[in-house]
Amino acid sequence: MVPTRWRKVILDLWMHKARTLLVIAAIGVGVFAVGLVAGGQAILLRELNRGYAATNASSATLTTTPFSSELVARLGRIPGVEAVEGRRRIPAQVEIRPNETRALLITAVADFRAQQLDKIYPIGGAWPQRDGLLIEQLSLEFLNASVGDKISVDLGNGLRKELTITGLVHDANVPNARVTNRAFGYVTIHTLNNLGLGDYFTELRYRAVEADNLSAIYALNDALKSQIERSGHTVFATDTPTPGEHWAQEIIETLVLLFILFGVLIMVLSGFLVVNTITALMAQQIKHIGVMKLVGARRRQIMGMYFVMVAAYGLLAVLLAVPASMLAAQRVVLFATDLLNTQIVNNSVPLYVIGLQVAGGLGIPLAAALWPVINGALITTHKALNSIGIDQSSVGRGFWERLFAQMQQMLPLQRPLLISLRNTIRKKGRLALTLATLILGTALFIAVLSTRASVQQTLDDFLRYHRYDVSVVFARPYRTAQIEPLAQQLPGVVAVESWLTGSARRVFADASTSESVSLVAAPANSAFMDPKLEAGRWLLPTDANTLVVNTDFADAHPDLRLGDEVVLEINGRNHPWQLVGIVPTAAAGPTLYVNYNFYARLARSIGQATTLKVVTAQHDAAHQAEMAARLTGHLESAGIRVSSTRTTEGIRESNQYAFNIIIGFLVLMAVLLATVGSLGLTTTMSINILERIREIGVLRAIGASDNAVRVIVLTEGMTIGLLSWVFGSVTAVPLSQLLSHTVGMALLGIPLNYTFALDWTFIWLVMVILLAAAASLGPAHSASRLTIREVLAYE
Amino acid sequence: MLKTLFSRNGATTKKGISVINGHTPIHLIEVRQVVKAYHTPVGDFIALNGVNLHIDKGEFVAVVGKSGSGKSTLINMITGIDRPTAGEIYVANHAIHRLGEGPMAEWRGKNVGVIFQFFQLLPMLSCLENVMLPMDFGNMYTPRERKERALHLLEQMQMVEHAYKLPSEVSGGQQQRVAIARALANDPPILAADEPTGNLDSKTADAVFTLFENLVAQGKTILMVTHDGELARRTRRAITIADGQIVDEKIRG
Repeated sequence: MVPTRWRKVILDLWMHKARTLLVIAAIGVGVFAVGLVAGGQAILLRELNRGYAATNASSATLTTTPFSSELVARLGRIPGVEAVEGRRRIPAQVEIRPNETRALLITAVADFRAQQLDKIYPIGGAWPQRDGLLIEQLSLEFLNASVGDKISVDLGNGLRKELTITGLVHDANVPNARVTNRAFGYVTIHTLNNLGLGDYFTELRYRAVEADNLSAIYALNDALKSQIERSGHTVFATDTPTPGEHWAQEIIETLVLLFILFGVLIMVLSGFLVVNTITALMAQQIKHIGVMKLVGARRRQIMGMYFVMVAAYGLLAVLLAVPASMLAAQRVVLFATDLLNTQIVNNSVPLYVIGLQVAGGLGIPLAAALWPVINGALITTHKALNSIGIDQSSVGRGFWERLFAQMQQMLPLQRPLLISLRNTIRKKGRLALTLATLILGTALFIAVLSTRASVQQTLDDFLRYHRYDVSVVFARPYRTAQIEPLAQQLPGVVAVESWLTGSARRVFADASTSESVSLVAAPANSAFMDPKLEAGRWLLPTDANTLVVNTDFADAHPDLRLGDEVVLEINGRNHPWQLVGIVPTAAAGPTLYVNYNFYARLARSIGQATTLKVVTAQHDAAHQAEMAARLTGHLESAGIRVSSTRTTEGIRESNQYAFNIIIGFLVLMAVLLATVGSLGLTTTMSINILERIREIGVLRAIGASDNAVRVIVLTEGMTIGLLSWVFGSVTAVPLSQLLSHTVGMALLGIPLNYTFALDWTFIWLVMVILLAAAASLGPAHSASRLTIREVLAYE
Repeated sequence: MLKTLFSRNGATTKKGISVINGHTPIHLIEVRQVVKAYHTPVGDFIALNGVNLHIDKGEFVAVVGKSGSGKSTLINMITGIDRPTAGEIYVANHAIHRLGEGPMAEWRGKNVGVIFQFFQLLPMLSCLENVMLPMDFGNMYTPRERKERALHLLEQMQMVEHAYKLPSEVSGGQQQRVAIARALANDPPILAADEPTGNLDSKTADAVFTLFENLVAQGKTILMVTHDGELARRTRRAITIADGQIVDEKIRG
């Protein structure tokens, strides 16, 4: 037989279902958030590390003139080299529909079975395969193909071949094709030879024995370079990634940072909520405590009962939240794996995360209950039995009370409104916790949506460099007099413009040169490009050797000032230029902008173009894609060799893809925070009304109508909502700047062009008012329905 | 069986609870020079002002007086619900003015049954469970005996057919009967009732009073606060309180 006092505990849980659900929700939302963020982070990092370790990443890649497998074998014998492999990469174009191509980077390896470095793993289809093309798992959809399909591949220099996709592989070292706007494929060197491209390598990849020692790797780079050059080859470039770092390290770190930030915030806010809820629970139980003491209950018995009750709430919350959070963590990870190209072999949530949830789900409520339970058990029998619901202690004469008294004299405030305002500030500790929850919820909600707006703004600003619909890149320069009329013949083409693109190196005073950077030469008065200016001015039609650089270039050359002379090496010859302006980056690396006319003369390409920019009649993605295909077909039928096409919506989409995942995660967190906030407000309003039940009876006894009681309670709730909105919106300004900066740096390497989401700030105002009204409506309705006799004899 | 059922196996006096410091009370209840002052924003309010009172075993005492006279405060002092500002109170050989809140609850659970105007039953527990609760807290009787005893008490109060109902499912008079059964749960020698008939109609009030008379006949000591002069006249002894002092006492043959 269950002792009667424990029956009381069980019945208290069962008979007050709404209250039980509210407390479980308050605890559960925190437990869920911890499980989601800690579980998601644990799975993601574990699987990323596992996948990365399984590739056996190379320490460095040396790009050289063609070499054979004999040289590879010789280089492998150099002391300190653990493994070495020759590779070759070929940029290609794949025709995915008639006249529509997509970029494909083909990596050739000696033998799939003998892979030692940057390993790829089979997922489906034939493996290992001597002939045929293997496609990276996240590239297949991008190529609009399936395993077994024959695809038409342009391997450059007019060489077009049909290749069969024989299998799917996972390469943890490359991103999703939708992010890079380029697919990844793999063949053997044997296949390349069969295609007539020779059986040589141009990349030497190796792994050092001391793979974590960067100095040792640099020393080996030099040793290998000397050896290669002694063999009669030239080393063009050496790429040495930071040892042990995944290519998406910064994205991962940002994700982890956001996971931790939001996890901790939600936990703290949920903790506040639990404190408020348990305090409310104890406030409701005071009279019961009095009765139990009256019939002989000892303090420790009472404390035991309430601690068990709180532990039961915690346990129920844990039982519900742990499985839900596990599922949510596994789902969230799936989004991230799509971005980071990770394969989830094991999606189990580690035990320590569940332990953390159980500890938090039981520990935080018990800790939160410590003071209210001890306080409740310590109350004297007399005080507990005489708890009548008119809270005298909280009516003070502090600053706010005096302010309202003055307001009353100065403003014609109606008495019920004044009661609501005074009620709002009566329990300052509780109000502070509720406000803290709602303010942080508001601030983070607005910050997340401001980051989303900043992403849009940044992408819009990027597109200021692409004020056209389709860009057609030619395999070689063509005469503008030939291509422009040809393109304009096509129905749907509104305007065209010819550009030249190239590369240049800055020549320093000591005759050394910088890395090669991109150069864009557009007509000076072009309407197809309208970048914002960071400093100086844009190019004028009268300009000759004037130069505008982007911030990436300016950051890499901090010695340069506006008006300075910059010597550039173009096509092997040095020319002086005058720097007149700096424009923002489009996250595509250092770029120089010059006048078409002057550059064309310099590059001996007068009247020629490497790229044709086209404005079409309609600007949606589907129409742009269709026009790109039609333009390719039309130009190629006239003998013009098109290398590739890109649409501006395609550029926007690939830029946006990575952001969508991060923003999606942030919005999920914002919704959780909003849930915690609304639960907090509901709890606070319920406690406030319960504590004042007698007071409401008095109000009704002296003539307050049902509606008047409802209005008083609703106004109180909405005042709290409004206060949280005001302070939350102000807090959102620095918070959103920080978040935009962090997300921008992680995904683009530049801060986002910050935009405050004013529209969402006001949408949230409406939401928070509705939320406050909804949270107060239940208590307001209950309060208005109580009869005067009931509330005045409230026992 | 009934002897076992109604003998108190947990009512042994604990060390430290019944220290009387040289004073040996002769009466079951002794109230000596008790003062109770309440601090209010407008100054101290003296609810009891040097009250002296003694009650012997088996007495049925009515405490009468106007609202605010101090009669409820006096009963709160004797039951240990509230504590005196000055003075001494001895109940059943215990100096209860010296007891802390915890030992006081434990002592009260075993020695005094308290009955209120508004019944003070726990709404989520059935009538039976409400009666069993003091035995549970006081660790009195075995679990099986608790139920048997609670049913027996409810039977005595003519409430056994309502044993499994919630308090809200029975009338006010019936709730008061359950409250009396609960007050008797641990077989305390003293019952203290604060306006026990104040919320009942006259017929029900009369029935409750008859129950009290029967309990006194069984050897219980009852202290009852009332402002019903008619009921007060039916007790053997009636004390009148005004302005915190005992101003009159009537003993009927």
